[in-house]
Amino acid sequence: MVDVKKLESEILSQLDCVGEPEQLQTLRNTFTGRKGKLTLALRSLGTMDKEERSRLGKELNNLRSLVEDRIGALEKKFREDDRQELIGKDRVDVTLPGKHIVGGGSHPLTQVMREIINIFISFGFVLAEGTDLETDYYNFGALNFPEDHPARDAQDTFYTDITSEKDGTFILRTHTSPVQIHVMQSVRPPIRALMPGRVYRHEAIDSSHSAVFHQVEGLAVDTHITFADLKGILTLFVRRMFGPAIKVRFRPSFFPFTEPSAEIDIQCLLCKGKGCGVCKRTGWLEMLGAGMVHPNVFRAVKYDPQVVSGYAFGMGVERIAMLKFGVNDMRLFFENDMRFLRQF
Amino acid sequence: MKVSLKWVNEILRTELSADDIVSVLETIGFQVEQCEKKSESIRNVIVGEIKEVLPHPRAQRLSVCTVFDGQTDKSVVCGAPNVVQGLKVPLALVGAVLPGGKVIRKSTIRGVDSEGMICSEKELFMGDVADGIMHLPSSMIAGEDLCASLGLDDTIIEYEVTPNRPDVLSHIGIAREIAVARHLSFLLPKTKTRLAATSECKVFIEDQKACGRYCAQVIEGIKVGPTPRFIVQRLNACGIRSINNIVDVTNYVLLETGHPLHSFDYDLLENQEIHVRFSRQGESIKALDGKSYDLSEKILIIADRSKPVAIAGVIGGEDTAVSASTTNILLEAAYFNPRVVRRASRKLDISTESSYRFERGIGMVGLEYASLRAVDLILMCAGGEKTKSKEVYPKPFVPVVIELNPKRVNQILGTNITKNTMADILNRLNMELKNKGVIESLIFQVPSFRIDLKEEIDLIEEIARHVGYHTIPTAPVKGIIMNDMLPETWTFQEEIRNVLSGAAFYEAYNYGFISPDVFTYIHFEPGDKRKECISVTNPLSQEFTLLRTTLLPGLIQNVVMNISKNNPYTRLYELGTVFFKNGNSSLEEKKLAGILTGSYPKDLWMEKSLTFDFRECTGIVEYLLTRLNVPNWKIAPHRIPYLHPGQSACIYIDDKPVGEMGCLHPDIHEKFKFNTQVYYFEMNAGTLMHGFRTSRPYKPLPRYPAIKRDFSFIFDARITWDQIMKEVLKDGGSIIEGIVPFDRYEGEKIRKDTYGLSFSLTLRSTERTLTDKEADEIQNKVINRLKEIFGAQLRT
Repeated sequence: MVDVKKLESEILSQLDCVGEPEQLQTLRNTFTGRKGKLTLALRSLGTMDKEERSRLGKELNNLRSLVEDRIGALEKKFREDDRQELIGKDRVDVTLPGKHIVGGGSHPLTQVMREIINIFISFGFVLAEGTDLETDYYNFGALNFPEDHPARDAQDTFYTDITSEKDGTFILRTHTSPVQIHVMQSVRPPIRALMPGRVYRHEAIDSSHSAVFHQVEGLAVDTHITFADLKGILTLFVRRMFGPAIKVRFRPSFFPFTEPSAEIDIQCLLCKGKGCGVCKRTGWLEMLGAGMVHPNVFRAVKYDPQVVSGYAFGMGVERIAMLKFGVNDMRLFFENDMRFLRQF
Repeated sequence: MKVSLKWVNEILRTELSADDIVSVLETIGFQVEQCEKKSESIRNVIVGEIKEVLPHPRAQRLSVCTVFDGQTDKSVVCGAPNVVQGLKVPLALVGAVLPGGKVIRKSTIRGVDSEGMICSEKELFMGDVADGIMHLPSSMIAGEDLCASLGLDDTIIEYEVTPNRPDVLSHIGIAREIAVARHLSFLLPKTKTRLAATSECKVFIEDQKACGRYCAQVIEGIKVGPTPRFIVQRLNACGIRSINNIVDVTNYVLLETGHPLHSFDYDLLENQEIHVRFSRQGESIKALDGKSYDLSEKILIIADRSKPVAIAGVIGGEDTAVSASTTNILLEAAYFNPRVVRRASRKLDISTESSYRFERGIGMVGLEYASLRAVDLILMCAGGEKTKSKEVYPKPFVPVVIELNPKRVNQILGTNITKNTMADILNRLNMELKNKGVIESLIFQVPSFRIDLKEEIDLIEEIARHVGYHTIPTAPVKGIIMNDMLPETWTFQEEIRNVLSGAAFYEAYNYGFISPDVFTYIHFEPGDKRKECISVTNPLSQEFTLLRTTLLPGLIQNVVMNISKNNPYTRLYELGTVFFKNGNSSLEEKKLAGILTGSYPKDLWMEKSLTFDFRECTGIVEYLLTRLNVPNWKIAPHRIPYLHPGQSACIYIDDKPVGEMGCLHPDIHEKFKFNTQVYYFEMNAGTLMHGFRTSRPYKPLPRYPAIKRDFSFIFDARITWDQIMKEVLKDGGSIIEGIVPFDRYEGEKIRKDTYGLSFSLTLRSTERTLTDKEADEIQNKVINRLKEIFGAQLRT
């Protein structure tokens, strides 16, 4: 006769003691293996009468599934412990520096130009380009610079050896404004044009001057364009470019090709208007030149100044980039030191 | 322009502070550059009166002075030889600060206490005299602040004057603007002298266009000597040195009225004649700056009967200048044509206070006032008597009249300014309303000194300035969509930048100028248009003489710079304009160029650093052209003079060359001592743009597996990969998906003049899974063909 109760308590007490996978194997051999006590007991059922068999059979089978479950659970636990141990051993020093990822990028001046261009494109402006070499007429004459006038002094010019009877000596453009003339000659109003480009001034190169630099020029011509529109668009531009809270002021100024002309200052980015070395203690930074297109400029392109009006503006890309990135030497933009370029 | 605050206040009869004036000037468009308070650097220095001078008991050269400070007597030790009893002197009290920051302390000098210091001119930064104390006028009162007594408690305001506003290049001019802004009344100081005199002097004008008005006044019996203090002080404050009373008066009137004047020694003018004429061949003049100027080129001059005595509007001559012995003078006040003066000033390279104003244009009417004012002051400072005068004024000034449509003002400005406000502003700006009330528009007569006001828009600007830009509304932005003008260039350039950023390139910007020297190491074929540069006729320096025809020189310089900074690699591209001669005109092209050299820095466990080589350069060009979606491109070997003869290639689109690539020529490497190979590519960006498409055909992803077969052959050294690849492709047809070389060997294990090459073929059908048998077939065909065509030997 098999004593199921005794067998059960024997198995359960041994199961409770299992701490290692090896002990589990021994236990399995002792009870559920081919010659294990539980296996033998089940096998002995065949020799019993029907009633005995059914009673004992049920009890033994219950015991077997209980034991198998317990063994299975223990096996699972041992496997999980092993896995956790392995995972735990798989460590790296996360404080080591990352591998050198080789990247590339646009020049800081491109980045600033891109930002300006994207803002004006969102205002409905289109891009136009001119050439770096220009005639005196496009660079000065059509823009209402009288001949032999001191207004030309501010724009010291590079001359070339290209001369023609019709156009005179070709010069390197001193500003992007000649593109205004080309645009107005090629299309009719309404015009909203943005004209980025490279300009040249005969100036010795130092930390704050460059013989070559970049401007972005804007022009809008239509019926009923006012100075208030100019204030509107440039205020919005400055806020998009430098932040919504930035203060802007418009000061009267002079450019031969606009009237009334204005200089647009923004609150100093560094001292927030308190006054510092960068803003020369004024709290303001000059940012753009602008104004209403002068009637003589319209006359030069055969527009009727009584019918159309317009505004024009221009800004220096290097200056904005220097303020935006805190670069204090303009020459850095043209040296192309990898250590400099990688920072942008 | 520098003005004295006190002077401006005197003209306006106000007590405005410097801050008041700065804020007015900024609102109406005169940017203030500097505001300098002269007296700030001198503190606690007073007027002292020397009561007694005794020798120092223990030092021969020193004296002990009793100085009255207005309340008590102070004992001061002094080393100057010129201390005399009864003098008024600058006395720095204990605690005083001198310019330069020196602080005066109570001290004991060789046993005698000294309660301050008597100062020299130099110690006060008021002059050059250092070896004696400064003597003050006896009229000064002991105990009063020195700066106040000397009139140095002044502020100098420096503002920017735009070229259109010569009328504010004077104290009166700027005072007039302030008066308008602050609603102040404004009157010019009265003059006593009359223009006409009992007899005439001799003045002849040759060209009335060049000289529109000439007023000469002769004063006889003057005494040249020192100038009254108030004039000297004001000249000094504005940065002009005192010379003598006559010259000082003309400079004073210049600062006051903005009109340049000149005085000649009347007796030194041959035959006492003045001729305003253009210079003649061979003439020259020794000017007041001590230099001689050749006047051979037609330059407007003032001459006496035979010789030039001044360059009109620019500078006077030394020979006829007023000197200590002068007794009779001729005072010139004239209007010279701005362009004529400007040309002279540019040609001779002289710029003076006078030429600066004439170039910008002075008021033709106002010069009369300046002339009379100067005569008044000369008579006051130097005595004498006005004896003769002559005025030549053939075409009297015709005032400008402008019609202003008030509606137009608001249309341009976007404002609602009333007609009355407009009229008021213009009226305050000395414009005379010519039609009272009736019609819609206003007709104004412009004052003679406002030569910048010519048409309606000029008056609109005046109104805008004086209502203040801050009062003009900021209109909401109205957009209109323009889509017919967008050039593709920007989009395309941005795409190039994207692609090259992805290929680990940084963008470079170089100046567009190059030196002629670059062609000694950058070689081009004879007749290559890149050697024919446009030159700059006034370059900044030798390195800046030519406009670039290639981006190479700039990028080489960038490599040189990066190597000098020990940067491990340079990997730069530039999108830049190059310039060619095109007959009488120029041609500009946009180029895309890249340069690369060095190696990526070796990482911790990386076996070796990756050094850029020719295939790196090829890879970039291939990647770029693929990403830009340019059709039908190829790279083929080609000799290019500035590149290494064995490592150069041409880039083609549709069989047309669009660029070049390769390793720089050994000459360039040697010239710059490069010790790693430098690779370069340059393409015509315009041509690339024609091929550029943003839309690209999609190729379906493979559905069936591929079979790979590797090969290893030994080839004759002359066989190129391009030849091998072409032969291999003949056998597989569309089944060959890819062919990639993965090893190349040259060395001891194989015969000289041969090389080992391994490559792998990827075979795939788009319709079914290939069988090994099919792959074997192709493999055998490839082996046989390469053996047959090239005599290649299969490696085992």
